[in-house]
Amino acid sequence: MRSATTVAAVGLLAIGVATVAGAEEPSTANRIPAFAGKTSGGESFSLGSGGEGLRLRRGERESPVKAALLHFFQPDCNACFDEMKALQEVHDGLAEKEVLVASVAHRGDEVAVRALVERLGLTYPVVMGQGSELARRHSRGDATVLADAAGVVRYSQVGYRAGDAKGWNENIRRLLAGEDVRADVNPRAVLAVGDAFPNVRLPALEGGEGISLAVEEGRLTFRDASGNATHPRAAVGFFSRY
Amino acid sequence: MVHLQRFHEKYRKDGLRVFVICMQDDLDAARKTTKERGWTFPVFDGIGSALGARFAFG
Repeated sequence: MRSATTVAAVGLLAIGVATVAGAEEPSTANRIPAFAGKTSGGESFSLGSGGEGLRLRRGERESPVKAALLHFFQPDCNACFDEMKALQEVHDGLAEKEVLVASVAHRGDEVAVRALVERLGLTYPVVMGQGSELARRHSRGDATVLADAAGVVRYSQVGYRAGDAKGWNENIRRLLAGEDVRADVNPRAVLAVGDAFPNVRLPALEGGEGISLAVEEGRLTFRDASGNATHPRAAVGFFSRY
Repeated sequence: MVHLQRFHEKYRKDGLRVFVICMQDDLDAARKTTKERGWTFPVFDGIGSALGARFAFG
């Protein structure tokens, strides 16, 4: 059985999707915390930023990191699978440039993580981060952050859409070139505070009556197939991929 | 989804409407999951909808 996987949530509340610190002076306030754990293959894996900048240690090997693209996931996240395939391609293209691409499991057991890595044929590091400060601070379901050579987060996004890798590559290229990263490389449409819910008609999953949602005369209106209207005081709409 | 179900049960009487827009291609799997997990909030098929195309991601 597939588990519920958040794709996006909208309601009458705003959601932030893509955020960036590129236009701001980087500060230690959003520096990624030091992490020490192991990969899905059991290799020790630590990441930390000190006076020498961001450094990676895998097993006995230690190396500087000029940019780190960190993806936070859970192994039953269907939406994450395509993203991890895309991350593999980014890794393949940039591994020789001291760019770290890694996925950090923030939930799920190790057996499930290992099975996922094997099933997808991933060779970039997939790390067990359950319970870590790194995951606690940066995971928001399926989230991805890009940190610079100092370990400062310069870009972040929630969720994944096909084609997002183009934006990651562009921002990594900018980081390596010493340029500011861009906030709008992977733009999302969002409902902001004050926006009206868009008028829409949706079929019911179980067939039968669908529903229409609209703002009529200033009130959120749900209308069934017979035209009967209800006006909830509040509503939460949740996009999900099971 | 567990929390949405709880919200649905707790606040429905107070006028909160919880609904899910399903972005799963396999609708049979989605129906099965919905039934197995006992979700009682309404679930709608969002595949192909303008709403899903615009706001869903992941």
